[in-house]
Amino acid sequence: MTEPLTIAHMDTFEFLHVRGAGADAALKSAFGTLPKEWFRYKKIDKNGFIARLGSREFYLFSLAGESYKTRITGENLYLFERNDCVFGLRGNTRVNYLRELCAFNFSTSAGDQIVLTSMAGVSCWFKMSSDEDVDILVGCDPTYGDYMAEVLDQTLDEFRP
Amino acid sequence: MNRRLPPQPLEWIDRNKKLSFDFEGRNVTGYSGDTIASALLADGQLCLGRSFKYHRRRGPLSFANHDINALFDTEGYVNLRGDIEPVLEGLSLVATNVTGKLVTDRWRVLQWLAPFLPVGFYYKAFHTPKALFPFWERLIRARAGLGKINTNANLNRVPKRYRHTDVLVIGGGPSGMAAAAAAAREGATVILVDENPILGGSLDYQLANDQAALGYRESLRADIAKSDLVTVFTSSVASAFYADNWVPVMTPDGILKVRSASVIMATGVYEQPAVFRNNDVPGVMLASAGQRLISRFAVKPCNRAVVLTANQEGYRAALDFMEAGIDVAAVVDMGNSAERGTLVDTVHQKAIQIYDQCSVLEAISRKGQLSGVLLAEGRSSIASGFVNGQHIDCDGLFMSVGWAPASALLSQAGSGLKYDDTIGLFLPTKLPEGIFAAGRVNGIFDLQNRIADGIYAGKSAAYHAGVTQNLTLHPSPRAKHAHSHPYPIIPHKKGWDFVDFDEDLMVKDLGRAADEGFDNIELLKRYSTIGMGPSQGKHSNMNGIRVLARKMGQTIDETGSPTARPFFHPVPLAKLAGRRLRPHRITPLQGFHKDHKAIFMEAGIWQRPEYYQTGKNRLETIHEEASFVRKNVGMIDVSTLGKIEIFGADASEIMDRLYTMRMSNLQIGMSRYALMVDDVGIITDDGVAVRRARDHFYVTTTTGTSDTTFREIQRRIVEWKLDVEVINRTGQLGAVNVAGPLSRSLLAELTDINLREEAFPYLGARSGKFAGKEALLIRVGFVGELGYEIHMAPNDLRTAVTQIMEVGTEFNIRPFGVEAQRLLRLEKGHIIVGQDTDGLTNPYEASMPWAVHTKKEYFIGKRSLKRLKEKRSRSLVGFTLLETQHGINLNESNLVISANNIVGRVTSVAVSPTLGHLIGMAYVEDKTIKADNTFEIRTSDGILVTVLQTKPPFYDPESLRQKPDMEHTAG
Repeated sequence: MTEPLTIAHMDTFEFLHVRGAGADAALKSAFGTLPKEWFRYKKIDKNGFIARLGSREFYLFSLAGESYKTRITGENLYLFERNDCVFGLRGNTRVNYLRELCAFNFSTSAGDQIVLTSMAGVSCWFKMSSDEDVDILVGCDPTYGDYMAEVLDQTLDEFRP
Repeated sequence: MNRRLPPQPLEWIDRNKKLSFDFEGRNVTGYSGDTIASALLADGQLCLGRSFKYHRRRGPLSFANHDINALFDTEGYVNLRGDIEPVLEGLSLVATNVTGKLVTDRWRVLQWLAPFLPVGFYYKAFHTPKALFPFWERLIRARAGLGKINTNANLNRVPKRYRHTDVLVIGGGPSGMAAAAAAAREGATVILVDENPILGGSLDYQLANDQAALGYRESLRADIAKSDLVTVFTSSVASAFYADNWVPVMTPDGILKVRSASVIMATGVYEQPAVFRNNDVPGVMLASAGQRLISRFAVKPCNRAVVLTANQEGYRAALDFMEAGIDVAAVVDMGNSAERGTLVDTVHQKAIQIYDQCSVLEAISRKGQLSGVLLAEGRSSIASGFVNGQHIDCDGLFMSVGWAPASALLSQAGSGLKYDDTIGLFLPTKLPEGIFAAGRVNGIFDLQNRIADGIYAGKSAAYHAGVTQNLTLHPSPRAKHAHSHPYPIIPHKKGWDFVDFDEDLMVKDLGRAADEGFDNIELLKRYSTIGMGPSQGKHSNMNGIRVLARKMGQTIDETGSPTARPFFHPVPLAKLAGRRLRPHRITPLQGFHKDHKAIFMEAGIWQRPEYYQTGKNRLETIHEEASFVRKNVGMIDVSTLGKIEIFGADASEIMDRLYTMRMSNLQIGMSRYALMVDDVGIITDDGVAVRRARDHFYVTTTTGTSDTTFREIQRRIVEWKLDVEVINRTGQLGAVNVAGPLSRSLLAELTDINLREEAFPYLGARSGKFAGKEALLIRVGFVGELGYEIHMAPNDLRTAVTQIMEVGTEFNIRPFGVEAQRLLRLEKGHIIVGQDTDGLTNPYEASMPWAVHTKKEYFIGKRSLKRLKEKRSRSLVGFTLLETQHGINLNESNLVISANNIVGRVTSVAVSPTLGHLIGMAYVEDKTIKADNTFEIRTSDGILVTVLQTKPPFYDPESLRQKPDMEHTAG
């Protein structure tokens, strides 16, 4: 059965960009094992995830309202809050919908992948999900947020049958 | 006269759906599936358009998406190609490039002026007298181009979409279908693209009466239909080829950008016209056009036909015409019918007269329609154009004299093309990896071999895409004899022997161009415009090459072929524009700006307040905003500044290398002006660098350069292998600058940071709580007053700004926009990178030698700057008007003039409300400044104005207002 495509504008989350030579150790200490491969994420707690972007670069995201900031300590560790505009895409046509605006080859992406690419001319990250009950998250710089919301809504109108 | 035939086995029209439309005020009926041209032809309208230059009557030529002389306009759309554009109920059409009615077009008189309009005449005719050129230009522009765009038509936004696949097959003929099916059988995902609405290619018209071919057609179409791995896009043109197999496919629903691991070009061949006198008269067309009309649209192209041929395809066409009830008067063979295979026997059996070693010398027209042909017999007669043949009455002349490969995409993909004398065709030589050619474009003409070639290409493509591991097939053999005449051109001394139907070019035009020195194929193309019309030379380039080759005594390969650039097929601009996505950024304070009635302006990609409306005019408002900053306190949103964090063990090392000033000795908690130049010493960016910790810097950039500066830093980190990291936080943080003599007192009420002068001096930077949230405050002086930049997270900044405005009421605060800031910094003599600098400005020219610390061991551009310092000959100087000239208006970009030469330009200029007179900055050659410190600027009205060089800053030269004594201002 086709589930209608919906786009949720997420506004309550904590999003940290964790950098530095001590990032790996600090995050392991706080969350246990980390994704080994770059651009893969691991679920943490109920609605959070930790994504590896490099040997000493991570995204730490929580929808649950819980702050991770205090759990991460260590040397050579730099935490920066991100205030991205984040959208949640649900519905089994969502990947086809993304193809309307994004040149990335989604057929090659794994269910636990973080994709850094651009969509509608703006740099974006996608948290993929092979589980149709879990949103694909799309995030971009907040200053592009209004533009991106406008483009997504307009394209959604055209995309719906 | 109705020319609709009885139902044809493969026809595309749906006779159950009748449509009616209007053409030049006349009601015409057709069927669903008809094109505009097929419906008009079926209705007896044999003249479909007027030619571009001479406005000669023209009918169908190819019926294959290249009939440029059968274009139509309707409300909102121009240049609809009649041969492919579907007819719709209720359309109201007129012919393009026609003034009045098609038959009585007023510009048809140009035919009689042809002797005065030779190729390139407009290059030679209109340059003198110079004064008349604007008149000629208007006239030529009015006549040039096709169609008149209705700019009031509704916008039709069509998206550009993306697809990825293992194999992209371009062309849905027998080879293409076989290739797609074969690749899919190997397990590859396939996208199959064809320009026609129905798959089949030449099987649908050229081989429509061949039972064996029909069998292949059904079986290939069934293979495609049943495969889940093949996605078909019909009525779609693969229009270009870009690097890494990136192919834009123009579909009816917009452009599809396809990236494929392998690409198969099964693009086929274009039938080529013969060249003889009056080869453009309505009724003369390609044989394949006649076959398409019959088989696809059930339209009888004529009643009595002559077929001019140089291959076996002409004989097949003659039989097809006969099958459709056309009286075929003769087959005129430019070679020998004995070489054409078994079809010749059938033609003989049907009692059709065959003329060997003959050609058509001239098409005879009566009342604008073909009425007969005049033959030339024998090789020598053909060569000399001597009339020794007979006249044959006919109303249809079908040309089947050869082919040119549809190889534009192959060429763009990097394939070599070499002319094969045996086959008479340019053929691909060395194909790039992952690119495959199949079928007739690959020189394979036999149907079974074309299909086998498609299968081979399909399997090879799947193999290259990594879908399969085995490849055991072998390529198919190419044709063993020519299907094209080597020189199907019978020049006529009286002309009208067209080589290019788009541009109305005749044989003598090309000869004349070569005589004038344009004897290289690329030069010939540009001078004569051959191949530059809407069909892009698909029916003219090959004959053009032949004419030039013969003229120059060269082979075809020596002559070469013109470059086929993307897009090789015209694409409507609306489709290129797609959804017209135009990214723009807004700051976290957008709501605040709107609430305060901001007038927005574009600053690069950002929307910024130019000023805030108050009911007064723009200039008064800007001056008022500036004066609030000078007298009280003002606040400007500077969130658009780039904000970059640089940290790690080598942070101070990279800062020293990136910026012209020394940064490694910057104290923690202090900031410094940060100027960046490139390797050649040109200013690329400026901002402020803050040292937050021993190994941590925070730098700002100008509004327009945050991304490029960030990329440059990333690149340098890799290049220099430094232990340092960088994050671009431009959009993640917001910032405001609160400036004015009362700023400190105001802000002191909202922060726990000690703002007293001794605790927080000029250029200091402090972190702490502001309005209850984390913030970084930097003492800056860009507008020349006591000022603080406050950098915070977006949500926190919104709260903070609300509180600043609330507390600020007591201090008479007012927000100010970009224009007031520009004015204030001009009074202070501060530059804006991009406005007061250009792509050639170095710090010495910008009068900023103080910003270059040459004692540093290294920084980007150091060596170049050393040389540039010695060579400097111009400077950015300040100026004011002489007292006697007050009231004169100067603008940015006005030129500095000396001895009638341009020696500089104004970069910034404004009337200063603080000083009460005009101030500005301009680049001026040093030697042109006179002894009395004056130089001259030409106003926009052309008046020369003498201005006085004045050393900036114009306001507060001792900078006392940026560093006021705490006693005077503290709350």
